[in-house]
Amino acid sequence: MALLEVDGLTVEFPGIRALDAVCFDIRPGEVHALVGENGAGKSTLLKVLGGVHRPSSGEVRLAGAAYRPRRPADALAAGIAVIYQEFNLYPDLTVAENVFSGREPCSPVSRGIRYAEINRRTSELFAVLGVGIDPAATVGELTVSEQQLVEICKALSVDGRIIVMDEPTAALSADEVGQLLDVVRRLREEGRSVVYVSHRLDEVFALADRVTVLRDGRHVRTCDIAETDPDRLVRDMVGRDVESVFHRDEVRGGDVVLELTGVSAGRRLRDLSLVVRAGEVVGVGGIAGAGQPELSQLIFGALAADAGTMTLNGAPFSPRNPGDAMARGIGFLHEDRKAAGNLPDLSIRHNLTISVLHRVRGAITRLLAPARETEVFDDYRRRLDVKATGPDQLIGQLSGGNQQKVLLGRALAPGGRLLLLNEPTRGVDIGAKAEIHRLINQLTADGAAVLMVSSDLPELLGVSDRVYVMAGGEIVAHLTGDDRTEENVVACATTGRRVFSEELSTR
Amino acid sequence: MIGAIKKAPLLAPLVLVMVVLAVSTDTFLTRGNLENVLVAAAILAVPGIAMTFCLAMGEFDLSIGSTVSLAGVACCSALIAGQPPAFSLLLALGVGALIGLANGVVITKLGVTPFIATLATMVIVRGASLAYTDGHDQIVSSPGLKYLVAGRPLGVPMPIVLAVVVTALAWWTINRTRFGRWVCAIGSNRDAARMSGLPVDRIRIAVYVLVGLSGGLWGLLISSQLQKGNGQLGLGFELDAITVVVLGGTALLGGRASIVGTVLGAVMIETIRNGLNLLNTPPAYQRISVGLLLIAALALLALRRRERRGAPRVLESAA
Amino acid sequence: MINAGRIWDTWGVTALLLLLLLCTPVIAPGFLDIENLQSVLRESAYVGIVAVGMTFAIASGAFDLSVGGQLALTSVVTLMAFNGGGTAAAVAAAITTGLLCGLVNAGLITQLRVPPFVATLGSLFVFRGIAYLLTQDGPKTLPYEQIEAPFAKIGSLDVAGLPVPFLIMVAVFGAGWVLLRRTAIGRRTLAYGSSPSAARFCGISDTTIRVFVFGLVGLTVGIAALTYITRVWTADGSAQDGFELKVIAAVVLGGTALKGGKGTLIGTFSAVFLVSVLNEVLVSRGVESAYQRIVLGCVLIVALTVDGLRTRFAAPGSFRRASRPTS
Repeated sequence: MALLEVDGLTVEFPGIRALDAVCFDIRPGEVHALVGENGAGKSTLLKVLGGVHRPSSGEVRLAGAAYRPRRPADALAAGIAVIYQEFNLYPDLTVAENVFSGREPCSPVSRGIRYAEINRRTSELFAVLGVGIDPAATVGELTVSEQQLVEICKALSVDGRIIVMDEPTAALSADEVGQLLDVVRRLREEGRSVVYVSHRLDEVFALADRVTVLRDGRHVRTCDIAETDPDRLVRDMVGRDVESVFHRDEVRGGDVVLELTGVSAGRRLRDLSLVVRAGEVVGVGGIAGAGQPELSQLIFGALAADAGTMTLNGAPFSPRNPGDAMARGIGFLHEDRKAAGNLPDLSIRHNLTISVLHRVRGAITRLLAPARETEVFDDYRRRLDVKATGPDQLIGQLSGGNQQKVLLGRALAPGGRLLLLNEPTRGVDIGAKAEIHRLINQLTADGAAVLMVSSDLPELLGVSDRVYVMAGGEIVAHLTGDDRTEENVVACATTGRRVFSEELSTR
Repeated sequence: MIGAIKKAPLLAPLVLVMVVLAVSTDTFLTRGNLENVLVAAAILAVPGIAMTFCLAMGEFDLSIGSTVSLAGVACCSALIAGQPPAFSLLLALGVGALIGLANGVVITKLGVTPFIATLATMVIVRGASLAYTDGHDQIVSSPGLKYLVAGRPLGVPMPIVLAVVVTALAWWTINRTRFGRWVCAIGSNRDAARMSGLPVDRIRIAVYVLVGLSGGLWGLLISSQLQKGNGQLGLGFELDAITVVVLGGTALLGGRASIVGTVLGAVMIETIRNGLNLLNTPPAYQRISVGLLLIAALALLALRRRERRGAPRVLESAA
Repeated sequence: MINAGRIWDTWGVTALLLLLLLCTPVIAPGFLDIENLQSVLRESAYVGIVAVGMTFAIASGAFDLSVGGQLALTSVVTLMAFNGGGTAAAVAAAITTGLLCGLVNAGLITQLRVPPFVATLGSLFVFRGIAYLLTQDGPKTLPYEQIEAPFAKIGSLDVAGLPVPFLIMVAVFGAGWVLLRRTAIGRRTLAYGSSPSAARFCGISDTTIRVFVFGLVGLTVGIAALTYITRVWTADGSAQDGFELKVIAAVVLGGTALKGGKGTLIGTFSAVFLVSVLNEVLVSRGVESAYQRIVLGCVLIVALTVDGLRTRFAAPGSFRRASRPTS
């Protein structure tokens, strides 16, 4: 009998149906892998289980009874512990205090927390997991993998029957991953169920008993791990005819616009070499946390390089800040529109022109001229087909696709010879997505060079002429021509395989 | 021993200042002078400790200076009206608690940011105090009130006794009880605190009540010292209270609290004030030194944080 | 409908001010006398001028708590310069001292990485301390025999019936408006206040913004000191205790959001006068200054509650994640 049943679960947000009638079940004592591309609805599903989102329709049953958490604390009380990628820990408190937060046993007389008891119980729980972490250590001083174990320990402390982990290995080193997999196996031996969300298929096959595939918010299939293989799983995850969606004109690479040689930055980026030519779209892929956005930020001058050299149009290039990069005609689109893209209090016109204020000044007064600003804005608005009621609308009032177009306009405005686009179509509906792709196509036809970071596989392969794949801060593949397959990207990003197409190896 | 120094980075500079003063003046090391320093520090430490809770939660309270005035006025006018000392003292504490409650409710229930909410209460409470006294001093001579500062149970000045009790209680509360740990939890990661079901709003209100209470006590101590209450008492005290906390090493963004640090901060400030007095420097230097101390403490903190931060280096980041 | 909120942000306080003025003939007869009005305009000037700089600071997402100390120090230095070198020296000293104070703050924030709140709290003590130090032998004063000096006239002269301090204030507001709305640095200040991380990726340097904003606050304090000192004729370290809060209250009341990204000088302008007219009306009704504070505080809380509730209703969420308070 199933421990947890998800039945016809639908979650709707304004304008988006994040989950559409999803059904599956979790059995006691199994590791159940949940896989799918970014945007497939995995995170939404986890948040429903964790009591953060409430479903629009459908039902979840826990051991036969309806499970309707109203707050995150309810989920924990019901024995479902969700470990999000962003941990819910207090960095300033000790391990034991974190584990027992809100449920600390205390002395009735002195009101003091029984530290001896919570430290002992925390140690016992860690012993079950087979790890040794000091319960009195401060959480902020632990490594990411240790913090992860603290989260797991928290789940055990409420005797969690179902432990849900969202991309638990995204930020871990190979050794730490091995340790975590052991911990998950121990949890299974204990008779607990684990829902394991991961992009890394090698982990899924090493660990899971069953696997459920989600795509575009829908349930594709659930099966025993023995009934499937990695190729089949990738096909299930991708599931659509990529070629028909994307149209990319044949390009002949022009002059080298950007060249990186042996560039490193701290632990996040190691010994990167790559080339971007005029008229090309160069894709950068890999799983989350492999260093792709950092690469683009380094080129844009937002991160400092420790070693290596960069050239732009043949001249040495070492930007000290984004302003330097913009002055050299580089445009940048950040992957997190909300946190580091939109200027929420400014109108869309001002959002767009912020990168080219020197161009919208009056001839004599040198002051910003609203008329010229509107002119510049209208120009991009036409080219990008931004749908808005007027130039003074606040950017937050537009749909995701139109917000993205405004930000694209901001990136194009400085000159547009080199564009660094991070996740250009994240959180954008299908129509706007196609328009943005068409725009990229047209820009490169006009001679612009584009470096595009995308975790959307079909986009990465459909829009790019060449693809670099990153893993652990390194470039592990350079795929051109027929080597550009989803299997190659996924394999290199997740299994440590390295593929370098002819072009690079003869260079 | 090394751990203790790390936990209280103020200890070394404090000892240094004391040694310098001991060498350069004849009077610093006298019993009477040291007692003066400690009494002044004790009076400052009590509200500082309450403010430590507030900063540990990642917030602060600007209204405490006005509370000092209104509480002092309340107590003095009750005494003048012939009320028994016990009632008058309780009245002052009640006034403080009520102001704290008002702050807490406005902040949590009406969603006004702490800075503005407590700024407004500060203005209102000061106005109430001035209005009630009509600009006049309320002079009292009550042995009961006097005892708060001049009393010597077991030969120890009363403010020191009070401060020791408050320090011990606060240390226990912040480090060992659920309430104290929850305060730090909220300051450490408020989202996580809500997610794990802590009663965040109730805790915040409780902390503001605590600060209000300490403001009331502060007002009593000041009125006891001066044997009067008026609308001008406690002007600028809010900055003193925040300064001792920050000086003591409690982070401005919350999550950690150092009660011992706050006490040392109070001793440090009063030692410097005393020393500058003894050295016959103009009182202006007291302000300058406090300001410089504050900036230096935070600059050091920022420096240490930057050293600890891992690579890669972020260019021109926002602080 | 879409813009109702924005119109209220800019013009709400102005509407309140006009309403109050319309009521004055009834509730405070005599308020509209020319002399009375002139005195209100004169008294409001120095708060208003600094409020311009503070509007920029708050729009960029930071406070400057040190303006009271800056004003005291600048006033003292200005008087010393005047007694030593006359009008020109006084004006130069005021501007330079103010600007220097602002740059010290900017340096603490950008070079030592001290958060603005603490940096300016610390420098408040320091500036006031230096002002005290310079006035140990008693407050600096404008000697009576200098009453005819051009410098001394700043505070007392009227042009076409309008007091000079008020005209200076209007000029500063005008320049501030152009700076905020029509120059690149003004726009960048708003962008930075709206989202520092997004602004970084628009090529906006936080050092530039901090230096500009805190330098500007210092500059406005310098100008304000000229109108202040020629009005009160004397200054020492205790001059204008609590000034910073008066200024911040006016800016916030005017509709500039504390979290940054929005700045309305029209609102600030009206708020400065709303507060002083309200005070004046209360005075004429025989209400003591003590009660005036209470009224001001209540106005502040009501205004901010309305603001807080509006943002709350504007952004409903399934499980809203509150953000950390800014410091």
